Amino acid sequence: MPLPLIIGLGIGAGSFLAGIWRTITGVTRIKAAQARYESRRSEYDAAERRAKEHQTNVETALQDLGRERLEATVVLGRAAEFLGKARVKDRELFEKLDIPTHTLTLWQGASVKAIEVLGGIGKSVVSGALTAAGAYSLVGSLASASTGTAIATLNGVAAQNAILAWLGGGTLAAGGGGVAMGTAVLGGLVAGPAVLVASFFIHAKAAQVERVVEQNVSEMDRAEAAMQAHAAYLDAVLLRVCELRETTRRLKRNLEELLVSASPEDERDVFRVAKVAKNLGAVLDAAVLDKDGRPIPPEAR
Amino acid sequence: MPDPIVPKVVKATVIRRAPAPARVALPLADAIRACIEYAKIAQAEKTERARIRAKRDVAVAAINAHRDVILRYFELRFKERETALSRFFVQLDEGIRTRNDKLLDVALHGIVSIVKDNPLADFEAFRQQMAKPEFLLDL
Repeated sequence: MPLPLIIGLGIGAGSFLAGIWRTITGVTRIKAAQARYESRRSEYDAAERRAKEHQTNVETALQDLGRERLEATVVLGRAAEFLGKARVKDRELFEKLDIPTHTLTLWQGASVKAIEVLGGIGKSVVSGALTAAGAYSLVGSLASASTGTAIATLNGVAAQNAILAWLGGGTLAAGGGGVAMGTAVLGGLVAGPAVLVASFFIHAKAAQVERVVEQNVSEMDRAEAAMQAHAAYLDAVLLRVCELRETTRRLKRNLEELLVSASPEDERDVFRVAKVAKNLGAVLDAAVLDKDGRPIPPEAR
Repeated sequence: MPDPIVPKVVKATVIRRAPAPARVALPLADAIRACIEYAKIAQAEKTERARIRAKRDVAVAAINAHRDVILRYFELRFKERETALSRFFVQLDEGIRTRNDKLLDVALHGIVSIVKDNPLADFEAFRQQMAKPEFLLDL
């Protein structure tokens, strides 16, 4: 066999085998990149589910606080009734404790509406009212609403939507578009190389796929980090909610105990009830979030 | 765009009439060109991946640092508030039980002062301060 023919056949066979080998490694690279994407995506989806559960926990805690505050408002109404019967002049209450007459009226009005809302618990619309009662200044908003039902149906639902929007911030918004788009882009790129026959082109495509996967994985890393930062913020909201719930519960209990033992005839008893009631009212007016569902800015305090 | 048929015809004519080594040389040159082209793409993609990773690392580090500040800030704030509130509630219970109005006043004032001070709002102000380049944290 002539030498040039042997050389030609050798080069041809060698490059054929090298081409086959490189094609296999190129396809393997693409599959590995795809597997990396899918693995990261499933981790990201799990992180997103955890973030949503976290959000639900905060919402439930706000509802619990709302219920506690509404019950405390009812006790506040009883205190207003007690103070109305007491043998203390309105002027004295105002001078000694800075409680004007209209405050007593406000407590009584708020108490009636709180009973209305509490009476509707179990109906779906009331969950919005409970969330709102937990998040905002309570007595004032109860007093300004025409009925308790209005709070439950309108104010409550709107407030709940705003709160939920804030509580959910940083999850879908942070990673959403890019991550979702990533799947489609990745699909196209993976389908393309399948029809290529030249190993170098397959490797070039593999490099592109690896870059797109890198981009998507990076976006998910960033979005997950943002979710965790938001979760830390939600933890802080939860701590604040627990603090308010515990304070409200204890002050309400103190006021209830006082109302049981106090006599409207005894001036000192009356002032004690008035003091605890006034401070409970102040605690009920402490807001957790503003109207847009964000933590209230310092100037609004 | 050049007519793709012409090169095929030229290749077919030239390669068929050429000796064996030359018949191999032309596709080999194509393979070398593809190899060079691939090397360029591979290098560019490698650089791009490194850039994406570096950008991600910076962003994630910044977010994690922010999260750590949130966690530490609120953990400390709420811990000290909880301690103070517990102390005031003990005083309040004592004030009611012993009918000590002075103790009652101190306890109620302390409780309401703490509760009215919203650490979430404080943190918003703290965060705005932290965003300023001249911000210095005194520890």
